[in-house]
Amino acid sequence: MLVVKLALRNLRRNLRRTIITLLAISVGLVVMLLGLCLQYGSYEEMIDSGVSQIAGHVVVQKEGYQEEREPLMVLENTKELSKTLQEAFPNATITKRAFLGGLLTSPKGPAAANVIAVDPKTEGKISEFKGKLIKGEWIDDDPKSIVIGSNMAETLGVKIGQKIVFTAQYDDTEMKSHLFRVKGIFRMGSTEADSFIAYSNLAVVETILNKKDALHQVAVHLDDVHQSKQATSKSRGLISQSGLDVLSWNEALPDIEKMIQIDRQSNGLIHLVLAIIVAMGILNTMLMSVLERTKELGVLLAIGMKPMQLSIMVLLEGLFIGVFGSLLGLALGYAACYPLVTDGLDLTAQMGESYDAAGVTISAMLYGAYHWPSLIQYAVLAAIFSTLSAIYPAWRITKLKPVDAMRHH
Amino acid sequence: MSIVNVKQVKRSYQQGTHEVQALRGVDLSIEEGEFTVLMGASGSGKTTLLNIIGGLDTADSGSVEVDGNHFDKLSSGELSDIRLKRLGFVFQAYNLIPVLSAYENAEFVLLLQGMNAAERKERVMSTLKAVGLEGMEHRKPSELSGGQQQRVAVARAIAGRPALVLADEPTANLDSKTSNALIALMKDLNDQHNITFLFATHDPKVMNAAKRVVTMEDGSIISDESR
Repeated sequence: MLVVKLALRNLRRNLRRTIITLLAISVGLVVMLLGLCLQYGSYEEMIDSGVSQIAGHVVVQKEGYQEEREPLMVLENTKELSKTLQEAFPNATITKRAFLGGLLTSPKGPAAANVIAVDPKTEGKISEFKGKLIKGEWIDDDPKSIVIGSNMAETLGVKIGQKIVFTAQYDDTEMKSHLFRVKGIFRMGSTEADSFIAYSNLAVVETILNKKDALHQVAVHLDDVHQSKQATSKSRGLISQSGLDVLSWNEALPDIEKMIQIDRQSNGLIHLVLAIIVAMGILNTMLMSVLERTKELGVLLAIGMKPMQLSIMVLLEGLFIGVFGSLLGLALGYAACYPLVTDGLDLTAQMGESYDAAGVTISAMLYGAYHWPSLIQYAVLAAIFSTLSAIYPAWRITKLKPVDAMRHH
Repeated sequence: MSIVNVKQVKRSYQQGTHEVQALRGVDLSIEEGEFTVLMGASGSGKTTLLNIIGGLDTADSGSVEVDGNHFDKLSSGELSDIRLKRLGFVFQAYNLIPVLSAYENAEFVLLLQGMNAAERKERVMSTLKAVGLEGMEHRKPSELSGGQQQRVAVARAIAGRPALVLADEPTANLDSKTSNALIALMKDLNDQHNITFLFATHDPKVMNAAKRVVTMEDGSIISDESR
């Protein structure tokens, strides 16, 4: 208790130095927390976009489709499968999708297209494309309805209500065509999405693949990405049908998972360098603080305080600076991140409305996210670094001879 | 009974390139309850001898026995323990802890000794009263005069009821009136509580109060007079 009291008073004694050290820790932490906030915000954005555009939190596909992307590897008669998943996750949205590559043709000419055939109602609940319609409406039960990107509409020279033909050939027999009427035009702000993506009714699959009720993917969309793994293993237990792959979001979007991992590691390295710089600053402060009190520490030794007690006192000073600095940094970091979380960071001037990464269109309006486990981990690490910085000065004290220490000026 | 028994103690220092013989085989024995003064010019070795008797420094050779403990056989932790429980120190520059009040400075040793709160409070208050600092308990050292600070130092030295108080030039920074008052205080503590005092000083006022005067020169004792 005595050493705790002394440690606290020593910090208060040179208040200006203590405040500067606290600020060094807290500002370092704020920079890290801001980075973390944007980092995790961008991860959430990437995952949400990927999940809603081409995957789900649980994805069921034909075995091997994930690797081969062979259009004829379809799921058939998926009613029972959808029903099982909906019963298992009553609040989730179950989507059905088929991914068809081919040519969309108008009187003006052709355009390469990735047509995503979907159930209009369920897809409409989770689709980011639906919210980006600039003309017309979202697809409906009409087998001819299709929404296309603004660049594609320009290439094809079509407007709402006009006809376009989708043509593809997947087996060795004959080329198949399906007639569409443009129901809506979207603009995502990404060249790839606006030039090549189209959403249509699932009816096109029967025409092109010559298979009834066929599709490539049944996906479960949950409220929280963190439920994905648990929901995936639950689904694996429920689906008895053989020849199917049941994947979590990161298995269905491995490129995004990889990007996040690489980004996390490179950011971790930057944060480590920052932490070392802050720790060196604290070490310098602690050394100065011990050095200028050498005489006083000698007196404490002379009147009977044990070297170990003095060392603990200095370690406690490091710990207190670390804890207070971390708490301050956490509070300031929370406040600094708040506008990023609520209002977002508008990068549209630099990047356009959105950008493409790993086959997914991601908004350039970046919202931050509080990732509490990381925030707390960094705050605890700052406190530990600060305490560790006091180890060397504390060790020096154990080597002090009272008479030499008291002679120190 | 001897509380201090020093035999053939030698101590040398390296000063630049040459060696300084601070103590050249000193023998000294001090009985319980003595009020002894080590006299001598600067560099005569009195402070070095005081530091060795207080366990603040170690002898190169010879034996040092204080309150029945042979210092050459003790670890630094054990020496700390003896300083805490059996010795008190008063330094020329007061050496109070600047962040602590007069009360807390005097209380410090008792806290280290593990004394309970009630007994501690009673002991600190009575000690501060004895040194004439009643009503100044909450003042920090920076808020006290030199004489008052040295009184706090004396209070800290005697609060733990040590067997021996070692005082190095305790009056050097004080005016004549304050010096006389402080000497009287320590003499009184010696008479009342039978605390042994050993001073290193060249202040004649302290010497006049002493029961025994040991004079040193060039690291040796040249005279030892009892009064």
